[in-house]
Order: sequence, then structure tokens, then C-alpha cells
Amino acid sequence: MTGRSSKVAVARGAAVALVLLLAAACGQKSNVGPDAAAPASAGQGGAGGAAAAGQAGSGGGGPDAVGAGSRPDAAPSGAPGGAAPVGGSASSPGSGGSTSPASGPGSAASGGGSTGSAAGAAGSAAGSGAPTGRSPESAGAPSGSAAGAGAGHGPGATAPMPAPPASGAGDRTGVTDTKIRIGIHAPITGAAPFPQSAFDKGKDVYWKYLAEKGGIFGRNVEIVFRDDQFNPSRAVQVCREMVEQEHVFILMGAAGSEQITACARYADTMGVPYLSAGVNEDGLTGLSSYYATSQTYVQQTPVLVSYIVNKLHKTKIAIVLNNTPALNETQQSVTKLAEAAGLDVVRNSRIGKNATDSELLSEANALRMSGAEVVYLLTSPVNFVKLATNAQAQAYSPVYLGPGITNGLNIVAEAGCPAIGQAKFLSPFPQLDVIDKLDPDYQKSYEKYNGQKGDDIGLAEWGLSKVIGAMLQAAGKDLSRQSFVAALQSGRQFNTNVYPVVSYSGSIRFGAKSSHLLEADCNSRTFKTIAEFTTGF
Amino acid sequence: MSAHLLAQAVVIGVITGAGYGLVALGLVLVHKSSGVFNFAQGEFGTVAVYTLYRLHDRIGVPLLPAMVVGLAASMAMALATERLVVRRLFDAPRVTLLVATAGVALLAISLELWLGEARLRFIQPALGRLDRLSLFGVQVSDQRILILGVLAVLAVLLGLFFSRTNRGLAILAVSQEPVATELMGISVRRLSSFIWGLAGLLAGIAGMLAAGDARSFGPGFMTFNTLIPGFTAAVLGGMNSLPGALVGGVVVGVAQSLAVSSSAFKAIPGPGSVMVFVLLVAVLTVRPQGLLGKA
Amino acid sequence: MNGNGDRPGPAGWAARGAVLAAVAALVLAVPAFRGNVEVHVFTQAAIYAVIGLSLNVLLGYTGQISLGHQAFVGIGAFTAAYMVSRQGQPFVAGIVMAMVVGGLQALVLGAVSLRVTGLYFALVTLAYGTMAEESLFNIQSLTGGSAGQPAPKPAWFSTDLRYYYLCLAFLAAVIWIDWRLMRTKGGRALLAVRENPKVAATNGVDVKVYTLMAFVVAGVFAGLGGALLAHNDTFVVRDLFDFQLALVFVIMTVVGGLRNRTGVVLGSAFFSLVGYFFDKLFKGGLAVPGLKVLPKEYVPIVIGPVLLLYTLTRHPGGVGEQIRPLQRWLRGGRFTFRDTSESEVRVSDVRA
Repeated sequence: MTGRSSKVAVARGAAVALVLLLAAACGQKSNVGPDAAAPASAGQGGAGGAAAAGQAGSGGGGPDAVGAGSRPDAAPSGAPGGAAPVGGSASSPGSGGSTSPASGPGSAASGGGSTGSAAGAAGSAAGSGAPTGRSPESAGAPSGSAAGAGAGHGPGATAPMPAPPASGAGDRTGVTDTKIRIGIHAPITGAAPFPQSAFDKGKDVYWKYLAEKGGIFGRNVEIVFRDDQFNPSRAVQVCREMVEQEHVFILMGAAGSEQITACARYADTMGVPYLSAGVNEDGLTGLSSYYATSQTYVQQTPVLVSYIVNKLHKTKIAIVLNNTPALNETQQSVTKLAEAAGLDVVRNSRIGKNATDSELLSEANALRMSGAEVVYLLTSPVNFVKLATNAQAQAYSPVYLGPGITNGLNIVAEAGCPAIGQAKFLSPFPQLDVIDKLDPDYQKSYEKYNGQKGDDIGLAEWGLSKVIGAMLQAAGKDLSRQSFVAALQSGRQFNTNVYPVVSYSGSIRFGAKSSHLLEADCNSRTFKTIAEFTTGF
Repeated sequence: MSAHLLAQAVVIGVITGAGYGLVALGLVLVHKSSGVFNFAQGEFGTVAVYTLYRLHDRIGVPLLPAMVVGLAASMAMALATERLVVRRLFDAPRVTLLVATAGVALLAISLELWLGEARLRFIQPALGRLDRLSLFGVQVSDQRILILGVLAVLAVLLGLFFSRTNRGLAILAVSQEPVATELMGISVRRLSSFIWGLAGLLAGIAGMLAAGDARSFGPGFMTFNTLIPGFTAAVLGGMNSLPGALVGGVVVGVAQSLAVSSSAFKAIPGPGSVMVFVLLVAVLTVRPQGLLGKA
Repeated sequence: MNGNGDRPGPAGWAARGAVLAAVAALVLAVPAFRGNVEVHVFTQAAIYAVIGLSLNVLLGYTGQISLGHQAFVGIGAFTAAYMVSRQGQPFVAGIVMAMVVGGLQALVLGAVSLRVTGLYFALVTLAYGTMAEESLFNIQSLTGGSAGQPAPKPAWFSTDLRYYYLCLAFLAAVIWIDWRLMRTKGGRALLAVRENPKVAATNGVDVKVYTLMAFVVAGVFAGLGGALLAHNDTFVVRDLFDFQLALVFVIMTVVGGLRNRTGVVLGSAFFSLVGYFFDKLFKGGLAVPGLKVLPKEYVPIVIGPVLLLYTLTRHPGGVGEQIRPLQRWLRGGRFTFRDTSESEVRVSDVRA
């Protein structure tokens, strides 16, 4: 019947076409190696790849990434050599082994969303230079994104130039003469009851303040802020979007250990410097592009244990942590230190990130039965408040304390008082009660740009921005990912009087030296600062 | 598990089970009269809570009027569902209606996420006294006693309604023989609206009580926390039996609570949901008509 | 028209060819010119199509409804991720295992469905889905718990674009297999069972066996979809497989049109892409006056139920039915809006 045979014919034709296309696609050099030094490539896909040079060459030399993204607005000043200009192939000149950049698809560079140059160079690049042993995946299955970067699309594709261009060249994705674009991801939803707009007002305050003083060598900072929904897969997705579509200069993670770990790994494969609040160390150690801006959970443990022993004078403690593998190290360190200090660990449990109400109720009950006087807690604010509420309903009120970034925010006090009692949490930023003493510019600026008094979320953003600003400043006028990394690893101390002092080296990435201790005050439903820049009690 | 812990788990289970029973009551009500599995029952309740919260906590309307408006909101949503969805699919197979009500639930959840934001709201319950009663070391708050009380009263009232009042009998008639009932001059359409409005009311009550007890709520919280246990309770008790909903609720609550606190389940994550699933399958394979249902 | 009665002439065929070529160009060539992040979305559309087809086998062919389909998919996803990252197996092994595991658990559920039908089975699947989300997918050693499990792309298809073509190839394969299966005796038996189980039974059709087979096929396809999804995201996390996803799957299949492969593919692709297109139109979300901004993530679950309800109450045939005239035309028939075929989808088809 006509219908049937014509359908078959059509199907056959389509199959043939598909096979041909696949063959064509495969004709490109398979790009492997995420570590690919491939400097950011051209075109839009841009970003990404990059900095590998940073790692590959570690600092200086090495196949220097050629300028990144040719996208006009993101364009770094004149990518020397070849950032594959739109048009794709560019990278080819002599770049080792890069293959035909663009196979049909890739080359495109067509306007708009084109993926620009392409191809595989990345892979070859990896082959050639990148000493980074990292990205084990390259052997087998390269981690999608990075690799993804490669063939077919801009990112990472531009082959590293065989010889480093004149000094001063570096990966300038996200940097123009007037602007620096930074991407931040945070759990706006999922971890704590933040209103959706909680971060909007405060994220630009410091940068506006700085802009009035000339910015950073004339450049203003633009913040791209994304919600990772407290979900590591989503974190990777928004990080990808920020790197590959928004072409950010560096990535940052505000909170959430799993999200930070996931995004850090991605950033590492793309060679994008990634800074985050201190969380776990396991899983982040050894990543060459990662830096923690505050103390990790493990670093905070001795501080808290000393507080329990010397200030609280309690002996029975329970440890309750999120049930995620990354926190296993924290569990061990707390248990060990507590026992060494003579404390009696009466309960050691893990609760799920999305624990159901009945599970939290059961945990609260179990805690009560264990007789713990202190609960060392590391979980999301939502879980914490629910747990404390259930505990209170059982007429049980231990002292809650723990490391953390977000548990010391006023929103937790608003939601959790009176159940949380006088909970104490360490935090990289102090609370509103002392900020005027430490840095009077905050409230002045916030009121100036927003017309109202600053809240603690704005304060956290201010503190973080200040640290980053100091780092950007230290990188010098010739700002590139390489110079930024060099500034970080130089060992110098960044002291902002809000966030703790931090300093790094090539091997030291968890570089914060102290934290602030905050305590809940349920009369005012806020947190107060009871110890600033503390290293122990 | 020690006897003490066991007793505590049971007490906690009875309390949560009461919440499930309330939801199950609404489910049984709708099923008894029209054979529909109402997947939107949870969301009717969530909508009531959001309305109450908006009025009372955000705008400052006093509690009682705000509650009334909240209940009106859930009833309105139920009536709208009945008018726009259920009525159109009156003759359709029941599974179609199930899918349709699930769609309504999803729509409600998405609107809550959009308009209400995807975050948990923490609230103070109306009845603040926490330690009214202490059973085996478990504090039973006023709020919880209220739940139990409301559940008991409602179950009795509904039972009486179906067996003693004309309208109740009419509803039963409609569910069994719609054509004949209509021929007898009873408006099937009006009865249908009545039922759904009542279901909405029940859902609203359940939602407000649950939120008050948990002291928090978020988008879709009734569906995520209580719909499946509620259905399990209804099936367990017998989908057409109102006292069965009560019994079923308590059984599901206790079983779930035992699973969560028992050390035997320590290694299994999410023991509560496993227990509910097992219960559901067990009932459906061993005694499909439920404990109090007729074969 | 020509003298051959209803057969189209050369010009007619040329027109049809052009349309097909345009579609092919859209699907095959356009993604090559977009950036990675966009191709990632297109790939997801293809994968959703696979999942839609798998649910279509259940819903459209056996008439059993699964409100826990996200669990089928999730199991496939985690299996593949586990094989690749924990066991160090190659990509293919992960895919195969995912299909096997998917098929097995579908078989178990199918066995349950034999004793528990219709509404109650829907409940069981819902409870199963919830259990998978809260319990199964939380087993740290298998799924990485809340941290998730990485699932890197395979070496030969390591770029987003190539992976996209790979997924298209899989989709084509699934469509083809589905087509062939329905032409076998088993497939026809299934359709007979759907129409009227009793009659089918008296005609010697072993209802149970064919139902189970259908479950297995659905499970295999779903497992495949899950595995592809895992590699597409290069990371699987249990948060993805929630109640909303289960409903989105059902919606996209029903709105797509039951038993109409093209419709299901279109419906699935639509739901996967709608957020993307929305973002193109309204960058940063749609600002509705007087209400909060609608972000792109919520668009599928806002319009999905509306479309579902509309489909169920007005046009039970879904998209598939709407494009029937076009399909007929492409096959060489006349382009007419009058429905001359008997195989309509009725509201009663969404049943058990």
C-alpha cells in the first residue's frame, strides 16, 4: 500500500540521514579531557574551558589561554592570538592536534547563540599540555560538562595556543574594561525559609559602594545570582548556565555542602576559580580551582568543643548531622574531639536532608530519651527548626550549637523561637549588633542604596563581597583568571574586618582562621554576636 | 525496643493517625457517594491553610474569622473542582477522574509554589499549651487533643448523616443507582455539589489542624505528607466505611510511627513510607474490602 | 488531484517530502548551532519522549495507570550511575543494567497489578513512587543519598551535541521497537484486551501474560530513559524524582495522545521544552501584574494540569488526535479535518 511503503521509504531515508550525520559528528576529534586546557573559546559557548591554563600551567606560563569569549560584552580585551573569533576555527592555527574545528555544526559561530568554534581542540589540548592528572574521567567518560564543552561548541574548544602569548594575556572571560561578572549560587529555596527576594537587595550594595570609589581599577562588579534549590544536580545546572551562557569570571557558592561540592567539581573541570563558604573538606580537597572563604566544619569543631567544655560546662552531648557522605569526616572529627575532651557522646545520629516530619519527631524524642544536654547540630535551618519545635513539644530543651553558615541568620530565630532557646552557631559574618563597630560603611551604604536598614542577609553579602573585592584588587589591573589565582595563592592575607582573615597557597585552600560565635536571643528574635573572630575558648 | 519506647511510639502514632483519619474521612465521603478517588483532597486543605495564613499572619485578621474564610476557600476550591472537572467527566471511568483530580492537585501545588513561594512557613498554633497531658512521657498538647476530638465528632456526625438523614440516604442512593434516583426527583447535580463542598470543608479542617500541630507548612504539604497515608487508611478501613477511616487512620499512624522509631528499621531510609506502602499492598492483596468494609 | 484517484502526484509527494525535511532539519540540524546548555535541554526533550513512550505502553496499551512512573525512571537512572561510577563499568553496561532493572521492577509491579486493578493499582503506584523517593533513592551506598551520584557521559559521546544525537538514535529505536511490537501477535492481543478483556479471554488471549509483557516493555523503556537522563545531567540526585514529575509524565502522555506515538513524542518534547521557550520569551520569568514573577521552572507544572484537564474534558485524543489530519496527509492521504478513521481515543481510554 502506498501509505505503508512510503512510510518505510521515509523511515529509511531518515535513518540514512541520521547515520550520516552521526558519522560526521564522529568525524570530529573526540574530545575528551575535561581538564583540557582549552581556554575559553570563542563564541558563545565560551567560558568554560579556560583557565585550565591556570591549572595546567599552574600559575604562569603554560599554554596560555587565549582570550576567552569573543562575545562582545564579555569579550576580554582583545583576545590575543586566537580566541577563536566567531567563525570558529580559529583555534586551529597550529594548535596541536586540534581538529577541524568545526565540523558542520560547531563552526557555526553564527550570530546569536552560536557555539563558535569548536571542536575538539580541547581534547587535544588536554593531550598536549595539561599536566593535570585530574579529571580521571577523561580516560573513560569525561565528565559531561567539561567535555561537553568541547566539541561542537565553543567552550573549551579553542585550542591552547602553542606558545604563550605575550605576558599579560590570560583567560579574561567575564572581564571587560568596565565590568567583572561574578556568578553566585545559593539555596534560596529548600534549605531555609528565605523569602524569594531575600538576597536581591543586598547583593549589590558593596559593589555600588565600591563603584563610587572607582571600582576595582575602574571595573564594576556585576553579580549573577542563582537559586540552586538545595539540590546538587540543579547546582551543577545553574553553574553550567552561569559559566557557559553568562560567562562569569569566577563562581561562588554561598552555602550547602552538597551543592558546593558538586559545583566545585564542575568548576574544576572547566578551570573556573570557585570560592565558597567553608563546608566539608572531603570531596573538595585536591580540586585545583577551589578556595574556601570561611572555616570548614572540621576547622570549626575544636572551637565548638572547647566552648562546650569551658563555657557551657556540660558533659552529655548528642551529635546530629545531615545524612550525606560528605559529612562523615565531620562526624568522626566531632566524636573524636568530644571524647578526647572528656565529653560523653550519648547519641550520634544522622538525619536525612529532606527528613519527614515523623522522622524529625522521632529523632527529637530519641534525643530526649538520651538525656543529651547539648546537641551538636549540622543540618539545614528547616530541619533544625522542626527538630527544635518537636523537642520543645516534648518538654525537652537542650542547648543547640553547631558550625554553619546559615543557621545563625535571623530568619532562623524568627521561625524557631522560642523552641531554639539560646542556640549558638559559628558564622563567617558577625551579626547586626556589632557590625557598626566593625564596619560602619555597611549600614550607611545599605540605607543609601535601599532606603532602609540593612538586614543580616545583606550583611553576609556585604562581608563576602568585601573579601572578593579585596582579592580582585590584589589581582591587579591586568585581571585574568590567572592573575586572580596568583593573587590568591600568593599567601597574602585578606583582612576585611567582617569576614575572618583568609589566606591561601598553592596547597592550602581552606584558609580562614577564625569565625564569629552567634547566639539566639529569643526576646528580640534575632541572633547576637557573643564572640568575634574567635579561635577557641 | 523497650516497652517504654514502644508505648511512646504508639502514642505518637495515634496522634499522627488522627490526622490521617481526618483526611481519610474526606476521601471515603467522596468515594462512597461517587466512586471517585479524590487526589485533590490534600490540596483543598493546603489552600485553606494558605488562606488562613495570609489573612491572619500577614494581614492581621483575627483568628476565628480568618479560619472561617480559610474553610470557605477550601470549600470553594472543592466546588469549583466539582463543577468544572467532575461534572464534565461524570460518565467517565473512575480512573479518568482520578487523573483529573491529580491534575487539580498539581495545579494547586504549582500555584502555591508560584504565588506562595517554595518555602516553609513556620507558625504558632492557636492552642499554645503544650503539656496538657503526658502519656508515657509523650507530651500531648492541646492541639493534639483537639485533633482527636474533632476526628471523633466528625466521624460520628457523618455516620449519622448517612444513616439517618434523608439527604444522606439520597447520596447513597445516587452512588448506587444514579438514574433511578434522578427519576425519583432528587437532583443528582445538587447532591454532588453538596458532597464535594463537604469534602472541601473536611479537608480544610484537617489542613488547619495538621499545620497547627506541625507548626509549619509549605506548598503541597498536605498532599506530600498525608495523602498517601490517608488513602492507605481509607483502603485499610474500607473505602466505603466512615468509621473505617478512623480505624484505618490510627492503624496507619501507629504502624508508621513504629517503623520510624524502631531500631530494626535503622538501616532503611524513609521507613515510614516503606511501611505505608507495605500496608497498602498487604491490605489490597489479603483483604481488599478493608477491615470494616463489606466484601 | 490526479487521475489516480486518491494518490497524490509528484508535486504532492514533493510537498510532503519538504515538510518532512523541514522537520528533520529542525530536529537534527538546529541543535548543532546552539550552545551546550541549550542542547542539553533538547536532549532532555528526546529523553522525555522515550519516557512518554514507555508510559504510553502502560497507559495506552494495557490501560493501567502508573502514578509512580518517576520511580521506574529513577531506578534506571541510579542503576546506570551506579554501574558507571561505583562499578567502573562502561556506558553500555550501565544502559543495559538500567533496562534490565527497569524491566524487573516493572515485572514485580505488573504482578501486583494482576491482583489489584484500576483505581487501587493507581494508588499502589503512587505509594510505590513515594517510597522510592523517600526510601529507595536514599540508600547511600546505591544512590549516594542526598549527595547524588555522578554519571559522566561516555567517551565517544562526551559532548552535549553528540550525546543529543545518541539520544535521538535511542528514541528512534524505541519508536521502531514499539511499532513492531504492536504489530506482533502479542501487541494485537494487548489491544484486544484493552477493548474488552472478557471477550479477549474467551478468544484465547492469555490476558495475564500479555499484560506482564507490556509492563516489562514499559519498564525497560523507562529504565533506558532514566539511564539517558542520568548521563545527560551527569549527575543523578533523588530530588528530581518527586510527585510532580510523576504527574508531569502522566500529563505529557495523556496530552500527547494515548496510543499515538507521534502525539506522545510531541507532548513529551513540549513539556520538556516549554520552560526553555518560556525563558527565551520572558527572560527571568514572566512578570504578571499584581502577582509574583513566574519563573521558568514552574511553567510545566502550571500549564500542564490545565492542558490535562482541557484534554480530558474536551479532546481526549490529545495532541495526537489534532495532528491526525497532518499525519494522514503525510502518508499520502488527503488533508481533511474530518476524521475518517475509527481509532479515536475516548475518554474511557484513560482507564483501567
